[in-house]
Amino acid sequence: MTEKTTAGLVADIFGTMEARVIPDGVDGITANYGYIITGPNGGKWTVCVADGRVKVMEDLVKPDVTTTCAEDDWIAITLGKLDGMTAFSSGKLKVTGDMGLLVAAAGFFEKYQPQPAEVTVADIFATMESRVNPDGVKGITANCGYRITGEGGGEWTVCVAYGKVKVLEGIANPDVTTTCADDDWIAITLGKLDGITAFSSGKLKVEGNLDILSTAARFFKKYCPPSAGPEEAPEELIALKQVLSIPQTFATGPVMGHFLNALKEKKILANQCPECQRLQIPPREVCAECVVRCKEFVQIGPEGIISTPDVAYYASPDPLTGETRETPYCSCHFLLDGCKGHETMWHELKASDIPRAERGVRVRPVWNDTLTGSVTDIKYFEIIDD
Amino acid sequence: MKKNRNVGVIGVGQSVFSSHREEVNQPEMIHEAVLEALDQAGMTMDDIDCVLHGNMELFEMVHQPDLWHTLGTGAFGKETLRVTTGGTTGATLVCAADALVASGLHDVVMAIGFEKLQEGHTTGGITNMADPLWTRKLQTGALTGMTATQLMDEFGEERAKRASMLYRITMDKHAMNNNKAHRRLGLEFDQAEDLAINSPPLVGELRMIHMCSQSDGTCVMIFASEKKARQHCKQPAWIKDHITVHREENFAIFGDAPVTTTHRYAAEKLFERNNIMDPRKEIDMMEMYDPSSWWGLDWLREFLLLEGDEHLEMVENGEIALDGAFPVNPSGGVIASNPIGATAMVRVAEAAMQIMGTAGDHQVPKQVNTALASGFGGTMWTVLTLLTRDLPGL
Amino acid sequence: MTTETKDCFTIDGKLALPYQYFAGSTGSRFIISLREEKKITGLKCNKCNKVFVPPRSTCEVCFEDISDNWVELPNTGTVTGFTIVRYEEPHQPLKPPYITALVKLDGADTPFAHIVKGIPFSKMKTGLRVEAVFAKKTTATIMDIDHFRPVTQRPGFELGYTYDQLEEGMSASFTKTISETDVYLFAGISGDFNPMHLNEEFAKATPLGTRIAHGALPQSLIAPVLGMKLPGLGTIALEVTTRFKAPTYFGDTITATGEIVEKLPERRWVRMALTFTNQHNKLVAEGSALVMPPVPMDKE
Repeated sequence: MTEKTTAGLVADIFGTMEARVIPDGVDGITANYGYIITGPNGGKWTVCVADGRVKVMEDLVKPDVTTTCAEDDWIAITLGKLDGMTAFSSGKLKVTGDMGLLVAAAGFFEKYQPQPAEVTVADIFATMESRVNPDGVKGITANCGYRITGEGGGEWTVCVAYGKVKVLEGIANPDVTTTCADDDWIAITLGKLDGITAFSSGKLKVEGNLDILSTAARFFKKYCPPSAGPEEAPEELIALKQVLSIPQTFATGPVMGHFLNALKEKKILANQCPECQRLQIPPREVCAECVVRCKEFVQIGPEGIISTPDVAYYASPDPLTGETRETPYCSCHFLLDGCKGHETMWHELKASDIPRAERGVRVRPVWNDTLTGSVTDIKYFEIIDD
Repeated sequence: MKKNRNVGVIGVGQSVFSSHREEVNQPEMIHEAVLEALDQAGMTMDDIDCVLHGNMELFEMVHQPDLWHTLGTGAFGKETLRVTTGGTTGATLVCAADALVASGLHDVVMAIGFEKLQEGHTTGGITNMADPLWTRKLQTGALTGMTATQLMDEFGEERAKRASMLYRITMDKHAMNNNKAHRRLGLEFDQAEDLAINSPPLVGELRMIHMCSQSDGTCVMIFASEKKARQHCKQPAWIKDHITVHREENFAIFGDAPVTTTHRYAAEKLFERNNIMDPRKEIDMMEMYDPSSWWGLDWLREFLLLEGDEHLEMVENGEIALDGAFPVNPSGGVIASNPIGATAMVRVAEAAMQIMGTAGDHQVPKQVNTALASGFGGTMWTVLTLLTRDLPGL
Repeated sequence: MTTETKDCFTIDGKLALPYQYFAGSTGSRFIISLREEKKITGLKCNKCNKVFVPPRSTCEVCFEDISDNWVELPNTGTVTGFTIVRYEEPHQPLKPPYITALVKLDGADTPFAHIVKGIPFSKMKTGLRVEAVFAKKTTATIMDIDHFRPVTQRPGFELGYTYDQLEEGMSASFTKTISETDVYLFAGISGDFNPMHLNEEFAKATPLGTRIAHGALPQSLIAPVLGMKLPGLGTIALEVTTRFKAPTYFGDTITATGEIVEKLPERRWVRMALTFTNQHNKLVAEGSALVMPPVPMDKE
């Protein structure tokens, strides 16, 4: 947290204690609790509990137990963002004296409501662990790095695994890293700036696995800015979610059937227009330009050259399986031997050949072990090494 | 085109275009635009003879929406037709409305194009339009980097990339003036270099910043016979002519085929029969269906029958800007807002608004006498619509 | 031209696309009141007085915005049309055969499609009075109303449901409060004068601490269900088995319910599931019955 937001906060926590006393919580307890809060806005306080009443005094006054803690941690504990036990175990919170007294202290006060404060990037990340949406992180294992630039920025890594989320400071082994200015990040978190819009316009930059990021929107429950107080529940809007799934059967017809059957023998056929002589791959009943029936088949390829490679980084679903394709993949037009001009055949290039995908490079088809007469009989084309 | 009588656009309504409209269902979103169009035309539903309805087939995964949308369209008890011709749907709706009025079948026709892309799976829907035996497995929805590759081959990587980003930023500057537009990013020209490197790549050199949005939205237009149009509207936008051109049936438009032939073919035919010799001079502005800034850049050449690098120059010297010599997409275009079933109609509607003088903050400064609108979609279809300020001769 | 078919074959494919549909503000409010309050709401057009159920934000005829004019409707209505779905396909809400009907709620002008259960197909008719039965588990859809069932009681002297009229899922029940008199009379009928049923001081010493009714007493309350309601007059009970789950105390109100769970076509008998619950909805006994439904005396 920046100094601006914590100034006066520690004093306010102690200052409001007397007003926040829970009578049942302090009933029957007589003890002095000392606190040493370190840091520029820290100080020393003693909380005196006796006869069902609480008095808070500055400085240490005959404490039975003394707690020492950094101001940021103390604020986080008070706001419920840091578990007291965790802080104790990790050495952030040190205790001297009668430790048993502290157990009861958890029930002394009503929850502290901080005065309205500005939204900070640090607070957004600090509250993430308490805002985890269990459904959203289910089955996801990923480290998402965030590099937030600007005065209020910093670096964090959100680690998701086994349905749990841990937020670390600094960038640690990220699968995907998001870079964004502090103001934009706050605007996105508060819903004032659309994430996709920010992404498209380059305000939000992403390196690494984009797929993970698309799931990240559901990791957390909505961030409530500290100044907002108890939030008004938004109007619930009902959405019906379904998957339409229809089994289909396609008839090849004689022309496409002839072409597909030839694939079973590892032959690639084109048919030729008797008027303009152009080759069609895959073949079609007629030449749409000349409006004549094309009956002549010629064997082409199977080797050829890359005509136009199209490397897809955007993971779209495979319509036959509904599963998201691995990226990048290369959808490619190949000019097979015996063809010219626009007489290209559309298929995929082997993923590992993508870095060498250039026009004119020689390729050959790689056939599947089982040939069924379908587009997948050719696994992909691969570059022929000299 | 031979017409029985003249047809004028007298009212346009558009819902706000956005990536999410959870607070309204489909008929309710349509209703917003219907009310606005009726209001602009100074009409009530009683004045409407026929309602046309259109959107994409597989995008919301609901069937016969024209029937159950009656609640929002107002088509109760009226003649209704449904049009669905892929990306050109909106433009085909205009053609159908024009035909219905020009023929004398109806005096006043309301046409509705809508889409709620958030409700479906756009890329999945597009993929399912491909030939199931071959290209369905291979194609990547409406995304391709091939146009970028071709432009870079032809004009050099640096110039092509810069021009495409100039086109993109010009469109965003236009969208900033259109409060209905979906994506208004506030881009500046000095961001061009940064965006060209840092915007995430989708396919090849097609980056996210280049590509159109996925929007929810509705566009409604009211068409009237000359007599009715004059009664209800001081300055209708007259439909002078329109042309539809289809190409081959194979879904290879994103491939290596010479894809833009339908655009040039349609433009040549349309200009020839309307005696337009120099489209850049004789037409005052254009609303283009530009699914990406690479296509937008490339297609300028096709629609305006340009040669060499004239289209790049138009972008480089600011000719396509709102206040330029030939404004393109004062609305911000498809890159800014893309409710697909409405998108092609928005082009005609925005062109009509420029003629009617109702475009508000994105009205071009000069008087628009002739405007051109393009529609694009499906397995390489082109629809061009020519609108005029003066009543066309029959 | 003849087509050469030797190369023709078929390839299986699939179209699998996820989608969502937004009910919008108006539709959401309707579903939420079904889910949270089990109340059916509608919107009324003040111009033409038409009440839309499910609600529509616009009156389609008057073209008026009516989205603020909510009205609450009763759970009862009238069937304005129906059909019996007998073919089976994967997207159906129930396993066929079942009745899908248009139900116009009392006070509504727009009938809406739903499911009617609890009536033999042969007796289903337009004009039937029905009431909504709400689903135990919410899906935040119109299926938060599980189905509609007939509201009218059948006249007492008519022969009960025949085998053909009975459908799986039909149910009926009988409710009675068990008094001290009932227990004493039952002791006389059965000869079971066990002091745990009759002597409070003795009963205090037992683990239950007070008198309880004979187990067979609540069990016997299924007889009026089988014999007079479902299947009804003319039924012959062949077998009744019960397991006692909890004691019945004096003053408890017991509901005995029988539901048709299986039709046995060879013998034309039906098997019924029996449940006995008290006023706290606690299960006091459960069991099953095998009965021979009434056979029509005069064949029509």
